[in-house]
Amino acid sequence: MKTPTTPLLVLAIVLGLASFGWADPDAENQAKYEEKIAKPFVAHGAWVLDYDEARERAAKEQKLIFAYFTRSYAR
Amino acid sequence: MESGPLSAADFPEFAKKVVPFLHVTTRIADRKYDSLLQEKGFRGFPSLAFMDAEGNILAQPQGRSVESFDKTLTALERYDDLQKRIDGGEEGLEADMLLVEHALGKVNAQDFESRAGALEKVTDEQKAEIDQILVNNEISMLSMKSRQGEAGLKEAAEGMLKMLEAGKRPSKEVGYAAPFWMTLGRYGQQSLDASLMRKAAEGMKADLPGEARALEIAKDYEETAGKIDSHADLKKRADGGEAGLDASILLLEYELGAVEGPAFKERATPLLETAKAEEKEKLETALVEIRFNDIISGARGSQQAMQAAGETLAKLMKDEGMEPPASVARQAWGLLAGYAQRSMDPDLMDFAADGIIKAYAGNPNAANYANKMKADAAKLREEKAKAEAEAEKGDDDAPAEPDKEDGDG
Repeated sequence: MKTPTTPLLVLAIVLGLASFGWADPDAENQAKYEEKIAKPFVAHGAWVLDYDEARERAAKEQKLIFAYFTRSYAR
Repeated sequence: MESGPLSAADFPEFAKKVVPFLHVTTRIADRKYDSLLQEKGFRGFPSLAFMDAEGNILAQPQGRSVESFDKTLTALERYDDLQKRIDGGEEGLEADMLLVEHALGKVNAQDFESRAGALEKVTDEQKAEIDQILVNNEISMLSMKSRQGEAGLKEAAEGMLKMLEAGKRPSKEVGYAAPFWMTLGRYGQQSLDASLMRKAAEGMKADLPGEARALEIAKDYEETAGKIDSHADLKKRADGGEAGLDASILLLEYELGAVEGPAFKERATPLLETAKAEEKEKLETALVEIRFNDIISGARGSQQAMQAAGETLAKLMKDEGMEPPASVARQAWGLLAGYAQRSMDPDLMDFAADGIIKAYAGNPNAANYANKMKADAAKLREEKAKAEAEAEKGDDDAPAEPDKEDGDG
């Protein structure tokens, strides 16, 4: 049987906990983050998600960083 | 942004020229770099920036298209190159540097003008570019003025007409061409000048042929110009003694925004007796629209004003069954919904929810909001019924009051 993907799994846990009224805000925000980075535009632009990695690559490849700042905690 | 330029077909090609870095603020406790946005000095979402390998902010794109991202990247590379040449002692690069700094948004309009005026060595190509930037800066200044009431609009439009006379036209970019032609279009409507409206429409079409919204606006301007012509023609006929044109003239003035609500009411009321059926219906619709607009604008300013407006709308829409015209329906139903919720009136909540669904047909957010309001109304009814049942039960259990006739006295 195919296992659920991480975002769906986290979301399911969060929703399950929320129904008992004691959802962990970090788990909820993690689920929202997973949902955000699963959006098609992320793969389309081959975005680097780690700041350290982005700087390392910029230094190594002699390129500038093009940064897009967004948020996941509010939909 | 995410469904726009960042999903555009040409974005991956641009992304190959840089390191595309996506930063997501998550509010997850202790997450590394979660507050990077603030650390870099930005306040709002979304923000875009070019950074060097140390993470220093170099520039922000001047527009929100892949083309503008690319333009800023080219300017940054050019800036770096020019800086090295200047540092190496090369002279005569002032004009180049000024243009690159402008492209990066590093120089304001006033500084640009003074530095441009002081340039000694300028090629024809650079001069043309500088002149166009000066024209665009003038447009930005006038379009700000155009938002300062009727007098501001007049002053801005007159300034832009003088620019046209002097052969100055905006560059063919939305940021300059749209405010330029729209200021002239708005002033054309304000002054009922059909030829100015047509000039604005032509300008929009010529400068922004690929912008769907600009073409829509141009079409509106042409239609409005036609109405202005019809109005002038009817007035001429009426002045020449032709009777029965007053309702048509008044309705055109209403459509053109050339008559205020109270004046319209005063002129429309006697015309309702004599107007043809179709015109009578239009006059009545306009009167209803004015009535709703008066209530809606009266709701602004305070909580009490909003409450009073909600009460009036409840009487008008629910008790008298008056439907708001489409132009004001969303505002009217929205105000009524707020009032119904504050009043905790389940019947009114259901009524407003149905209205919201109708006014925002096809909008899932509005449907969710309305359905939630209906669920709240059902809950309120249930709680009310429960409280009433308990009160009734309490009455049955209470000891009977002694009959005064049988009392001690």
